[in-house]
Amino acid sequence: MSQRLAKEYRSHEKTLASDKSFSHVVDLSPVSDEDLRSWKATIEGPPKTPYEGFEFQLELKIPQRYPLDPPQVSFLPRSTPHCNVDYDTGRICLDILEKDSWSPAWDLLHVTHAIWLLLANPVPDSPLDVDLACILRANDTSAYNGLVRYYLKDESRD
Amino acid sequence: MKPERYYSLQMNIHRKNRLEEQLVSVTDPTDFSRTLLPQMVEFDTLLRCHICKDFIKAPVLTPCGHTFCSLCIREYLNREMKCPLCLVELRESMLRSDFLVSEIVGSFKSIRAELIKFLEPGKCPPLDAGNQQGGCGSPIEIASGDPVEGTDENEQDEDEDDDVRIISMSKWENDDQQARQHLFSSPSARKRQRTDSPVVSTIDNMLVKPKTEAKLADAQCPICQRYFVLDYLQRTHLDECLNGIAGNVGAEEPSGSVATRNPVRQREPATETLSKPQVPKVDSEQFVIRYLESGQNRNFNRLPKLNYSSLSQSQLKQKLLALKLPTSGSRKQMISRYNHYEMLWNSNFLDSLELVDERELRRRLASWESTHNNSGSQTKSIISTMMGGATAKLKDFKNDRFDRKGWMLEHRHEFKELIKEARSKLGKKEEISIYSNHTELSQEKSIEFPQSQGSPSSAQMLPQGSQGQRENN
Repeated sequence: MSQRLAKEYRSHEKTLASDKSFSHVVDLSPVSDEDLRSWKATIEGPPKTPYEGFEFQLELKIPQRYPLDPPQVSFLPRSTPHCNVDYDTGRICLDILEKDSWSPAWDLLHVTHAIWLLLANPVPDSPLDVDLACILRANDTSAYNGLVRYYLKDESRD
Repeated sequence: MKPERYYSLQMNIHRKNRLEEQLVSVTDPTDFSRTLLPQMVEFDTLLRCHICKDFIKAPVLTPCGHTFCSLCIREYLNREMKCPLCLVELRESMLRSDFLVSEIVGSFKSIRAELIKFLEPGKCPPLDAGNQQGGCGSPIEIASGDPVEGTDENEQDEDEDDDVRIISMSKWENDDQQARQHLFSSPSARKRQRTDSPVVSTIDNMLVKPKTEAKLADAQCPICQRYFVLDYLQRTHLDECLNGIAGNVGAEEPSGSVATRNPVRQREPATETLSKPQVPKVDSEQFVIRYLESGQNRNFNRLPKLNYSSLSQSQLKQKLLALKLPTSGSRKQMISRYNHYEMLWNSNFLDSLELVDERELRRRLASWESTHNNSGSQTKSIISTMMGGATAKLKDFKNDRFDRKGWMLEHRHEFKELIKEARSKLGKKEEISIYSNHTELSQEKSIEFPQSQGSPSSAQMLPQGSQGQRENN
C-alpha cells in the first residue's frame, strides 16, 4: 500500500510538471517526505466562478486500507465558502469520497480534480452549508456568487 | 551554523534519502516518456493493475472485460461487490484467470529495463556503414514508410508498398539487432554476422516470405512455427504439436505424418534469433512454454468461503488449525485472518503461474496481519501474554499519555532483577578478561579454555604450556 503511494508520488510529480490539463492543480505532494499518509494539495479557483483568482488548500489523509478505502479530504477550516463544504471545519460532501461510491481505480490526483470540479459545480441538493444552498435553490446565482466573493475577500484580508 | 540548525539539516537530508530509497524501486509508465518511443507509456500503463498501480500479478478477467491483480480485486470485492472501473456488479466467483496477460506482463517486465536503456535518446548506438540513416533516426521514423535506401539484396527484390513497410521494419530489426549486438558482443562478431550469417538471412526470410506462403493458404503453427494447410493445422496438427511440446519441449518433429502431405518449412531458427537480442533465450521461451502449460498441474482446490454465522468458535478454530493458521485473537480477527488467507490461497493456486507453497502463503499472511489485522488489540494481546496481564495500562504504551513513572514503580522489582542479572554477566566478562591478561595467576582457568574449544592442536599445546608454567612456578 505504501508502494502504491510511492508510485502515485512519482507519477503525480511528473504529470503535474508535464500535463497542461492539470494546470489548475498547483501542488499535490506529501506534507513531509517521512510519511506518505498525509498529503497536501493546492488548487486554483476555477475560471468564471467567484473562486477565480484564489487558491485553496486541501488536506488529504490516507487511511490504512487505501486504496480500498477512500482518502479523507478537507479544505482548511474557514477557507472555502461553498454549499457542499462545511465552512468551519472544511469538510467536503462529495460522493466519491464516501466508501460506497469510491473506487480503488481512482487516485489522489483524480480526487483533487474532482474537488476542483465541485467548486465550479455546486450541488445544492446535498448541502453542508444550508444557507448557501438555499440561495442556490432559489436560483439566485448572483447573490450566491456575491456572498462567496464576500467571504473570500473577508478571508484574504485577515 | 548553529548546532541545532545543522542537526535539522542533517535530518532533512536523511529524510530525503529515505524517500529516494523508497522511490528507486518504483517503476512508472512515464519512465518511457523521455525515450525515443514515448508511445510506450501507453503500453506500460495498460499492463498495470488499476488498484495497486503496479504490473498486474496473476491477472484475472471480469465479465465486464477489465483485468486486475487477482489479490487486489479479491480484496476489494470482499468489501464492495462491483468493478472498480465501470462500477458494474461483480462477484468473486465471476473472476477468471488470464494466463496470457500474465505472461505478456512477465515477458515485458523482463525486458523493460533493457528497453528503456536501449531507447534512451542520445545513446543511440552507431549504425552500420551500409545502412546509414543519418545519425540517430528513431525506429518510428524508419518504420513509418521512409524511402528505403541502401537495403540488402533480399529486400530490394520486393516492390510493393506493404512490403516496403515490412522491409523497413525488418531493416530496423536488422539495425536494431546489430545495435544490440554492438552492446553485447565484440566488433568481430558483428562483422561476421553482417557479411553472411544465418542470423540476418533468417530474419529477412521470416519477414519477407510469409507473402508467398500465404498464397498457398498455409498458416503458421504458433507452437512449432512451421507452415501447414489451415484446415489440417486446426484439425489435427495443433493437438499433436501441443502434446508433443507437453511431453518433450525440445521436440523437433512432433508429428511425422505431416511431412507426407505438406512440405514442412523449418521456422525455428528465425524465432530464436529474433528473441535472442532482447533477453537470454531461456527467458523468452520460458513465458511461452509456461503459458502453454498453464492448464496443467492445477490440482489445488479453491479454498471455500465460510459461512461464519453458522460456525461456532471451536469450529472456526478447527478450520484455521486445519490450514495450520494461528487461532489467537478475537473471533473477528480469526474471521479476517481466514478471509485474507482464502484470498491469498485462491489468487496463488488458481490464478498465478508462479506458485508458492503454503508456508510462503502463511508468511505473507503474517506480514499482512502485522500491518492490517491488529486494530490495536492484537499487539496488546501479544504484549500482555509476554508481560502477564496489565493490558489496560499498556494501552498507550507508545503515547505521551503513558504513565512511565507509575510503570517503573510498579515493576521496580523486575527491573532490579534485570539490572542484577546484567551486572553479574558483566562481572563474569571482566573476570575472564582479567584471567586472560594475567594467565600465570590462574592456571585452572587457562586450562579450561582449550578444553572448551576442543580443537586437537590446542589440546596438544596445552601440556607444554602448563608444563612451562609449572617450571616458572
